[in-house]
Amino acid sequence: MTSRSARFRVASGVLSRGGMRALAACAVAVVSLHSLEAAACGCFAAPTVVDPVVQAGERIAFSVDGSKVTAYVQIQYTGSATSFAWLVPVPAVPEVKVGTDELFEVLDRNTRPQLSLLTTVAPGCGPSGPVFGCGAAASYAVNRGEGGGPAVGGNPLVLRDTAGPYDYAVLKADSKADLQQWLDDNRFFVPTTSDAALAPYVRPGAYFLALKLRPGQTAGDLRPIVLSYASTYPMIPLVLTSATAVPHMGVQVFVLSEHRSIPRNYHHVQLNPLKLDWATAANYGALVTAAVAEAPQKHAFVTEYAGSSEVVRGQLLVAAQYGAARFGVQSELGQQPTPAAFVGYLVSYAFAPPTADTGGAPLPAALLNLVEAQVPYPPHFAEHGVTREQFFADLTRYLSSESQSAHPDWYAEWPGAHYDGPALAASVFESYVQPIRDADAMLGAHPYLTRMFTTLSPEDMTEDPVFAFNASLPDVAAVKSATRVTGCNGVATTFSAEGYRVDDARLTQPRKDAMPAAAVVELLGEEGPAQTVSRYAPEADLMAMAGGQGCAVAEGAFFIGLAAVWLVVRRRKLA
Amino acid sequence: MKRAPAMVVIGLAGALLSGCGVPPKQGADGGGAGGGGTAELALGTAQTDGTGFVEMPVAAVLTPGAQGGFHVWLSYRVRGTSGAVKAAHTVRRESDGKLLSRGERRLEVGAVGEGGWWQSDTATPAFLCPTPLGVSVIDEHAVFEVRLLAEDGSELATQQVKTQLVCPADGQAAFCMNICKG
Repeated sequence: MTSRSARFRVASGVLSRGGMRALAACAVAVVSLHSLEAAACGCFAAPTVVDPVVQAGERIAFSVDGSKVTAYVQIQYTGSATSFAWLVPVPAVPEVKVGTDELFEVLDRNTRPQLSLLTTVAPGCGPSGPVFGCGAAASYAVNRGEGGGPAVGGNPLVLRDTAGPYDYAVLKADSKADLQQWLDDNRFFVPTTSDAALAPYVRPGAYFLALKLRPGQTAGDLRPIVLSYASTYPMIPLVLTSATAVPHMGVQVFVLSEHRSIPRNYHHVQLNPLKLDWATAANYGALVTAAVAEAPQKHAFVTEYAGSSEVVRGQLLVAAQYGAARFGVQSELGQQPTPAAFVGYLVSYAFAPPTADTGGAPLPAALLNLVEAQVPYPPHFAEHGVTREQFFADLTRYLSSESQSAHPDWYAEWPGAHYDGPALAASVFESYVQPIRDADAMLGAHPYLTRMFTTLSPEDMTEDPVFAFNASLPDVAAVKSATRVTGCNGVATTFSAEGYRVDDARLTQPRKDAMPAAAVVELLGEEGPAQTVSRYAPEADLMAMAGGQGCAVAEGAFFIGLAAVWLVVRRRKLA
Repeated sequence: MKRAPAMVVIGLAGALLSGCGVPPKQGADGGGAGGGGTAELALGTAQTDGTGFVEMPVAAVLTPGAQGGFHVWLSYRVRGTSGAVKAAHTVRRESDGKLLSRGERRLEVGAVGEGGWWQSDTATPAFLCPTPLGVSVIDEHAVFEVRLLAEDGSELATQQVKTQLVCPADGQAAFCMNICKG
C-alpha cells in the first residue's frame, strides 16, 4: 500500500459529522506538529550532514557552446612515466591545451552530494519521557551514535606538438593497422587489449589524439588535458576505456551548458533513500553500483546536482581565506630578487589552491615543477631527511653559502640554481595561472551545471554514453534530506526521505537488503518530463500509518485535516 | 454560446502563430528555399566527406561519425542576407514527432555564387546515433528542420526536408543497427 492509498482510506471513512469533528481535532494536532518543526529553538537537533567519498576512475568536465564541445579530462594513472599513453577518439582535429586540477576540486567541492539527516522527536515524546523542548538535542546525539557513523598514404599523422608535460599527436583513424604501426614506431604505449575496443572508432574522417609524457616528466606531472572540437553532444569513449578499466569504475561527468544535461542513450536512476546510510554515507558508492545494475544493460547515470553554475563561479580566482584575488602581477613576480623571495610571493598571493592552508602548506607539485626548472631540488637532500617541500619552503637557508659549506655532501651532483625571475614568472603565468583563468572563464560562461555519476565494469562498457539537454527538467539539489521523528506511547518512530515515509522500526537491515537500490529507473528525453520505467513502492506494512497509530505520522494528514476543517466549517455555514 | 466566437479567434490565432498548413517554399536547387523571413534557405545534404551540396535523397544512408556514432550531413545555401547568422536544426521522427537530434552552428554568409546563393564550405552533422533510448531511427522517416536566425535571434528563414534513414550496408551495418535501434 502506498501512502497515497493510506491517505485515501482515511479520507473515505470521514462521512459522519462526528467523524469530521474528530479529524478536525486531529488536524489541529498536526498543525501543532508543523509548528513545532518550524521552530528553531533547538527542539530538534541540527541535521547531521555527511559527504559520500567516491573515487571516480574517470572525471570529465564538458562545456557546450552550440556546435563546440570543450572537454577537460582528468587523467588518473599510476605507473611508470614511460608506460603512460592515452588515446582518445575525436570528431575533428582538436585544440589541445593543458588544464588544471583545481577545476575539478571546485566542481567537486561545491556540488558533492550531501546527506542531511534531521533527527527530532514526535510531540509529547522525549529522550526520557514526555518532555518537550531542547532536550531533543540529547536524543540527536544518541541517535547519531547508533547510526555508526591530414596524412597521405599509410602515414596517419596529422600534427604533432607538445602541451605542458605532454607530447601529443593527432592521427587519422582511417586504418587501424596504420594507426597502431605509427603508435608503435613512435613509442606511444597502447595496451594490446584495446585492439578490439579501437574498432568502432576506426573510420574515414575520424581522428585520434594520442598523448604521452615528454622525456624527463614523471607520472606526478600528469595534468588534465583540455580538448576543444566541433560537436553537438558531449560523449565519453567508454568502449575504448574498457581496455584499461577496472570493475565498477566510477565515471564522473560535469556538464556546463544552457540547460540541464541528460544521458541520451543511458537510463537515469534515482537512488532508493531507504537504503542509504544517512549517518555515514558509507554505502553511497555501492548503492550507485547496485542501482545502475538494475537498469537495462547496467547503463544508467545518477544526477547528483543539476542547477545554477553560480555555486562554482568565481571561486578559482579568489583566495577564500583572504577574500582577495589570487596570483598578483606577473611583472612583480618576475622582479623578485631571489628564488626565496619568488617562492614567498607565490605563497603570499595564494598560488596554491584556495582551499589549501597557504600559511604553511606546500605549493602544488605542478607549480614546484616549474620552479624546479631553475632551482633543482638537490638529489641527495632526501637521504638527509630534507624533502622537496621542505627545500622549497626554506630556500633562503638551503641556497645559502653557509649551508653549502656546512654540508657539501648534501649538494653533491647538484647543478646549482640558475634563477631568472622574469623568465620563471612568464613560465608560471603561462603554464600554471592561465589554465586556471581559462577554467574560471569557462565556469562563468555557462549558466547551468549538471553533475552525473555512474559506475561501470569493463564488460558493461559496450556503448559510449552521449549527453544531451532538456530545459524542462527540474533542478536536483546536492543536499538530500531525511528526517527521523522519534515516537513514543504508541506513536511510531518514522523515517522520511525523498518522498518516502516509513515506520522506522520495521525498516530493518533484512528489509533494506531486499529492497531495490533504485527508487526510480527512468528515461530522460530532450523534451518533456521523465518517463518512468520502474518505481519502488514500499510494502504496506512498512508504511508509517501501519497499526493506526494516529495522525501524527500519516503522510498528508495535515492536508486531510485541513480538508476536514474546511468541510466542517462549510457544513456549519450551510446549516 | 458567448464563448464560441472567442474560442474560434483563439484557435485561428494559434493556427496562424504555429504556421500550420503553410508548406515551405520549394526552390529550384533541390533542397528547397525556405521562407518565413527575409532570407532564403536551401537545405540539402553533402557528400560522404561532408563537402558539397547534394539534394536530400528519398532514403539517406546514415554516415559513420568520428566518435563511433552516425549522422546525416546537412548542407546549407543562403541568399538574401549576409554576415553572421545561426543555423539551428532539429530532426524529428515523422511517425510520432519524437525529437531525434538538435544542434546549431554559426555561419558567416559571404560572397555569393551561382544564382545568388552562398553555400557553406562544410556540412553540419545532424547527430542521430546512438539514438535516444527507446527511439529507433532505422528505416524511419525523419523530418529535418533548419531555422536561420539573425544575431538578435529573429528568424530569417526556415526550411524542412524529409528522408528515410537507413543503415549502411557495409561492415558498419551491424554496429549501426545496434546503436540506432533505440
